[in-house]
Amino acid sequence: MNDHGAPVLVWAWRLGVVCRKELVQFLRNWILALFMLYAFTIMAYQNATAISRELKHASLVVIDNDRSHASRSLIYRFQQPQFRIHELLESSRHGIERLDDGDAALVLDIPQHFDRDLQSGRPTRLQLQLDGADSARAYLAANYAGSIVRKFSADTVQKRFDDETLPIVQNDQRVWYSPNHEETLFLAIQDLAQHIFLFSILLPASALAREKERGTVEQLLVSPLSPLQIMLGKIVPMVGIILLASVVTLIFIIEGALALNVRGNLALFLGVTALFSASAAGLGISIASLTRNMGQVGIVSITLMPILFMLSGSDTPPEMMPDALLPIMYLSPLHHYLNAAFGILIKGADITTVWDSILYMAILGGGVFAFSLVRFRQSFR
Amino acid sequence: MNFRRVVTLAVKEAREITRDRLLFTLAFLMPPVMMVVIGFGVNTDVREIPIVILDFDRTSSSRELAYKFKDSQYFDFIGYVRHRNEIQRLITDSKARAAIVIPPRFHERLRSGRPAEVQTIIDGAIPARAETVGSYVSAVIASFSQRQVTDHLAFTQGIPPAAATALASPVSLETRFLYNEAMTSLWAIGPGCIMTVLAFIPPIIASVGVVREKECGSIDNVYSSTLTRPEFVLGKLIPYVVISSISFCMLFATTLLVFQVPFRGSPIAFAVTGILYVTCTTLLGMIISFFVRSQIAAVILAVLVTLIPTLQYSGMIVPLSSLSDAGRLQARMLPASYFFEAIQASFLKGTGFVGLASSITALGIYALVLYALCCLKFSKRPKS
Repeated sequence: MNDHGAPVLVWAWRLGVVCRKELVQFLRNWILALFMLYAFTIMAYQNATAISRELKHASLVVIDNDRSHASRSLIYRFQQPQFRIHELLESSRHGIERLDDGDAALVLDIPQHFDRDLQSGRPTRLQLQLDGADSARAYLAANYAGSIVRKFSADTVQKRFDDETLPIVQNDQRVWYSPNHEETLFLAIQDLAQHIFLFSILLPASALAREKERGTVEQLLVSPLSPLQIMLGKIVPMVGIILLASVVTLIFIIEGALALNVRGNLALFLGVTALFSASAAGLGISIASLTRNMGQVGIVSITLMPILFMLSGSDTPPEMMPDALLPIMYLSPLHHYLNAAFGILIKGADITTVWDSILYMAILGGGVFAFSLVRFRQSFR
Repeated sequence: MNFRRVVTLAVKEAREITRDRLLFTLAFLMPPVMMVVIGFGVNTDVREIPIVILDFDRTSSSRELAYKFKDSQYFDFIGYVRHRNEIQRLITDSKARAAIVIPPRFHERLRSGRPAEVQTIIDGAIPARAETVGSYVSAVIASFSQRQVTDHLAFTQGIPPAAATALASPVSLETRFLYNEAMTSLWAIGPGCIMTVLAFIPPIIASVGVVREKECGSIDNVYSSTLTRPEFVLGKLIPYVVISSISFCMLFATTLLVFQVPFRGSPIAFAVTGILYVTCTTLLGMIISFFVRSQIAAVILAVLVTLIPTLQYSGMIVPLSSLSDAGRLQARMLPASYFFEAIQASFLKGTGFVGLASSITALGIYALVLYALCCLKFSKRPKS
């Protein structure tokens, strides 16, 4: 094809040429390509299965001052997988030592005459001490222990008034979308989103930064390419590669190796992913347009990414975040993407539900894109 | 090892870093910024869980139960709904995280002393959060239930309310959190941020610092010089460790002054551990840089190797005891998990040198192994 065709075709053809150049460059850096494959397959699998944010095997030390039938039946209720009985102690003093050493996560102290008090209808009080330095675990453990003791207490009342009915309110709890608190799908999607985000920012940003550092960007500038074409040339091939990698994760890891069922419309999901990847790439390009070399790109993006990860709303929900930080969260494309991705893949939502996330992402993407275009034009004039 | 050559290289490297003004400023400015944002942003306190109620009964009892949720700081009551479909819609759209369905004749059953059942629906898309929400909902319902039983017993047995309370809840649990009495999550997260931030920044600067020379070709000067391999690694290492150690001190100060976390351990022991930790993470960056040839690959590798694993495997968000065996192995492969133990011991528990001895040993061995690996991997006679 030559330059005498319709202007639109020429424009598209030139864009095609820069895209091809970028693709060839990416594939020749085979260490990076291999590592990307590793991140979207083995690493994705590992991160989805290895961790759990639920309470598991919290080591419990029990100080049983009563050693009666009642105390044993209470201790028996602290079961695996949430708790693991580490040790039974005779005196309260050693309990603190176990907490200090970090051997115990929690110490349950059962008072003397526990059984006798229960029989005679006198109220008794159990003491629970938790290692508050590990606040995530302490919260979970306190909640679990609380519900175990409540249940024990309710059962004791029921046993006492065996022959009459009591106005007890039962709680029939249903957890939608993950009835067994199965975390794998959630973790797999969260991990996929983080990988997409990371590569979408870094690949275009570093491609541009390298051209600046080596001076080859001058070549691009004297070529018959508009700034928009140069930018799109960095973004389009990377988004394409990342989309391909996401499909690999979705088919071979999530549906294949992990054998998870995803709901929702996959085409919609991929469309949202493309939009997300493009808006993150826009962010990457604007980082590169503000910096001069790879070191600077690296340090800016490594600062930005964990902040956006942590404020994406999947670890801390918006209602618990301080008001001052909420704007950052709403400015993060990751937050809107996770909302949409969880909605589509876990809850089976359609476009009528996730349209707002899509709109936000489009606005954010458009914003950073326009910004970097302006910066780009200025810096090369 | 010739220390003069090491010093010469270190000085050259230090000049190069300080002359890139923007990078130099960012290297000091970004860590505290990142720390403050993450520290205030990551929060495990529970409050204002959005909840809706579907009330088929509409009596004083059902309103009393609803009031318990409205009154609680843990819940944000968004309103009553009229249909089950609405619950479906609100939860799918993440507008509500829990819904309570109060059945018809709820009041009637309770007043006649018979048990009643309410249904609660929890959004399980984020399983860990579903568990927390579920346990808070159960706690509110349990306290309502206990109140009903107490009133009932006081009425049928003709006993004073205090005695009825004792009968209705024979066993109570007194919970005490040691080391962090008020369970301020900032106290737990804040010091952890030192670890997180110093897991990312040193590897990035260090790896780019070495690969840049490879990419520009200035590394040929090193290949043809008298510098030996251990000298080269050490000379490159020193300036980055110094920068990161200064960063460490700044972050340490931020934790104490901005987050106001009490420090109960030995500052010297903690500083030693911290410097060993940044040495480890810097070495991690250097070893990456010996494997790759381009800066792009170095940055991406450094991010992938440090960022996601540190967030997930260091014990900050996920308790280490909850990890699977493979996960625990992975956690132990990162320096962060050892440093995190030291952080917990020094800030909240207040153990001195003795408590930190195991962390110091582990990090020391880690650093030596990495240093040896770096020396082995770096070659002055590269292929091609």
